Amino acid sequence: MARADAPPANPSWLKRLGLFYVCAILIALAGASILFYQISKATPTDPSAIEIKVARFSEQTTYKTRPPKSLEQALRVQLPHRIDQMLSTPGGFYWYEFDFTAQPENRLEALYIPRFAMNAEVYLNGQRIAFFGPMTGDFAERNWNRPQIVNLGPNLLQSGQNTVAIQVRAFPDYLAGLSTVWLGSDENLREAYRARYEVQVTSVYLSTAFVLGAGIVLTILIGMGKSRSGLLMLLASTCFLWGVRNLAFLTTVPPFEHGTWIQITQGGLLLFASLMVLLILLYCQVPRKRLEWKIWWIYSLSFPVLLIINENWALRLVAYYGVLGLCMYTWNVYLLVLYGNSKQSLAPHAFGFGLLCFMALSVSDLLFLAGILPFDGYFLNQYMGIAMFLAMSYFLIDRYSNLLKESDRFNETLQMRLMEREAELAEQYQRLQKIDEDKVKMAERQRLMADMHDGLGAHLVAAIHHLQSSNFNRRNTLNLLESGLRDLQLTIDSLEPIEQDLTTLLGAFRYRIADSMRSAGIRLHWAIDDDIPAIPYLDARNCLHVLRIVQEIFTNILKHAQASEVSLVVSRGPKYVGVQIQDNGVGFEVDAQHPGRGLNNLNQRAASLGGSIDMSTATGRGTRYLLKLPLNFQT
Amino acid sequence: MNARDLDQFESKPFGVILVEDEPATLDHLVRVIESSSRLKLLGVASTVQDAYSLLFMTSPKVALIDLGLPDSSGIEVIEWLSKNKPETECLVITAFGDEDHVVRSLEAGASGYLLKDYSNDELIEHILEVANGGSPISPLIARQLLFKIQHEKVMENHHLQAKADLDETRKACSITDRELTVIQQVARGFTAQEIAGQMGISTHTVATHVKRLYKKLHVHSRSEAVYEATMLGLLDL
Repeated sequence: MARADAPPANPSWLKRLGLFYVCAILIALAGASILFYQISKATPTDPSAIEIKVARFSEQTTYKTRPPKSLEQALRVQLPHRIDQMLSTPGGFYWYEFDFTAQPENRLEALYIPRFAMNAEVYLNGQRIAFFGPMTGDFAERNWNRPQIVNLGPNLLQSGQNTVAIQVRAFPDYLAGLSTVWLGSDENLREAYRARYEVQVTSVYLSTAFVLGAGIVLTILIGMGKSRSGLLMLLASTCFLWGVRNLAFLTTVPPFEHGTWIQITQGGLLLFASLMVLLILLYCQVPRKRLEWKIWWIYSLSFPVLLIINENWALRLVAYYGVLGLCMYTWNVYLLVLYGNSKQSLAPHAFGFGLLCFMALSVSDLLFLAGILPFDGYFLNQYMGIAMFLAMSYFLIDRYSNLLKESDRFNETLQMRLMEREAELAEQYQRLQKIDEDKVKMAERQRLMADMHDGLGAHLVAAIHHLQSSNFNRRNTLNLLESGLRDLQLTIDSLEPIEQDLTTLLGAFRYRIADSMRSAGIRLHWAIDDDIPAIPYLDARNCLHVLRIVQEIFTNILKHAQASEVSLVVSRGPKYVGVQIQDNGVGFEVDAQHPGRGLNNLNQRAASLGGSIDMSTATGRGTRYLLKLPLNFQT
Repeated sequence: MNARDLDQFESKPFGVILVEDEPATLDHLVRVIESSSRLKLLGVASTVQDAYSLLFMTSPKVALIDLGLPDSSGIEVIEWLSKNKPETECLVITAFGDEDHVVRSLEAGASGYLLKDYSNDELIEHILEVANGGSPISPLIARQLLFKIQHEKVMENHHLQAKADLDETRKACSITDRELTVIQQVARGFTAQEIAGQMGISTHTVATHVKRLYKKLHVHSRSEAVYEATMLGLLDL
């Protein structure tokens, strides 16, 4: 928290702050006036209505089914009357009795009881005419916050003197007593009754529903994973706790017996205060080491222990801890104001002002609880709950939506950067692809040049040298030029799109050499299996390898074999395609140590195709070559 | 080949014209043609315009045409001939018989091609074969035709609806199983005689199949042009 380094006062900020407080106070006053207007309606207006302010009073330890005789001579007490001395006793019964004179013009038809605590019976002239909650047993109906209206019943009502007795059951460890009581016309009393009911019950229902609703909305927000804010979670739990606390006002038939129920509701109230302080400490970003945190820890850890040790402590705890809570709230208001100033933000001020109003109402409630304010007063701080939660929710949600906006902006920039990066990558990829293409083109160009150089070029150079030499002859020169041309043809054929079809490649070769074979008088037998598959690596380079291998074999046959028949068989093996070329020529003796340059060449070419070439020959028995091309070779 | 058998029965020499701009090739071919009694050179041209003038005056049986001419492509002459003088067979003069040149020529209506490095006998043999209605084909060209047929089948499926109007041409273009077998075997390196033996037909029939295939390729390429023109709205059918 920036206490020391508060920024210099900024005129526009001060103006905003001033305006805010003017508005806040006006709103608070407006709310208060609405409340007091409503409360004023809770008093009967009919001048003929009678307010009973004095009653005869008697304490009984046991339940009686008719007013005791002793009541007639009993001491008079002022109403509203509240007695707390049975707080730590097992409880008991208070009898209140008063007389009134019924006259026909008075229209005394009904009895209006603004408050009693907690269960009661009403007797008219010794006859019971109404009862609220059980008078025996451990279970308590919680009627202490319910005004009641009782019709006196024309049959029991005597003209002249009548006596009304009210037996109030006091429960251990809980406030007990009776407010002033009204007699009057039914409609006039009912009007007051309704007004009071609205203040004490209906509005609490609304406030509870509102706060629980806010809690549910917050929970949904958190549950949707839209927020990781601990503050929001805390706010949601304070909402729920506030709702639970309000049950103390609303529930007349609690699900538990009296003692447990007090522990639950009062514990809820204390826990609420604890969470509230925690929320503010976190909200103001108070450093963990500060005294506030220690006090908070002591507060939060001690009351559950006391609650559990002795249920009878519950009501007193609220008083003691209520005072402590109020002290903490006061400090919190101070923290919030400082925090708001340091941030120049209205939100903490709004929060603090709300808390201040809440405290004022809580003080009134505590005074009421302590018996200092009259027993027929009102609990007020639940009203502040609405305003408090409105303020908190508004500012937290505001903050939260700011966070969302920020994250949206962040996402947008992220998206932008992602797109930029993608474009960059695409460009880079294209560049790389271009480089690859260039490389492929370059490699192809180099290959073609090498082919020309080694094939056509070599033959042409040889032919020129031959022509330049002194002992050239026509036939050799022609041979050299012809083989150069043939090599060029092979190169061109190897560039044709044959789609990896070995048979077409060999067919093209046959077409080229058909004339030479015919001139040499050699019959060519051509046999090709039907199921020769495409050979995937048969690109231009490898086509040329195959063509040159076959070319070399046929050149050998034409030059040396003196064959009359040659067969070429293409067949499919399990893992390779075999090309077998066999002649019926003279054959030759193979020197195992020196297989000869030609065969070496063939072997090298076959190896670069991933295959192999076998040759078998013997003098007088022809020559057989077998070229094996694997089906799954990766170049 | 079959041309040899036939040339005993023919007596009148076939008229030949030569469209070629390269003097060395021209001289060589002129010498070869004049050396044969079965062929009669009707004239030579070295440009497309010259060729038209020449064809205005003569009706040769065979026209030998080089593709790279100074004023335009020989393809133009082939197209003109197949349209206006269908009885004239066109042979394209090429150095290497590479598929691009040859297939374009076949589509334009040529019956085959001559390789510049053919021996004198081979040249005459080829010219006579074509003059007698034969159609020389090489494995590489057969492979290209196969590729075109397969490609055509796919395209046909795509354009089945749009092509309904061109049903007649399509029928004329459709390839029979026998024709398919012939070019498949040619693509695998078998000669006309070998294929005739395998299929139990005469070499002449094999040649006819090939000839028909060439015609279909030509008709097809024309119908394709018509089809495309129709699609573009240039032609009303």
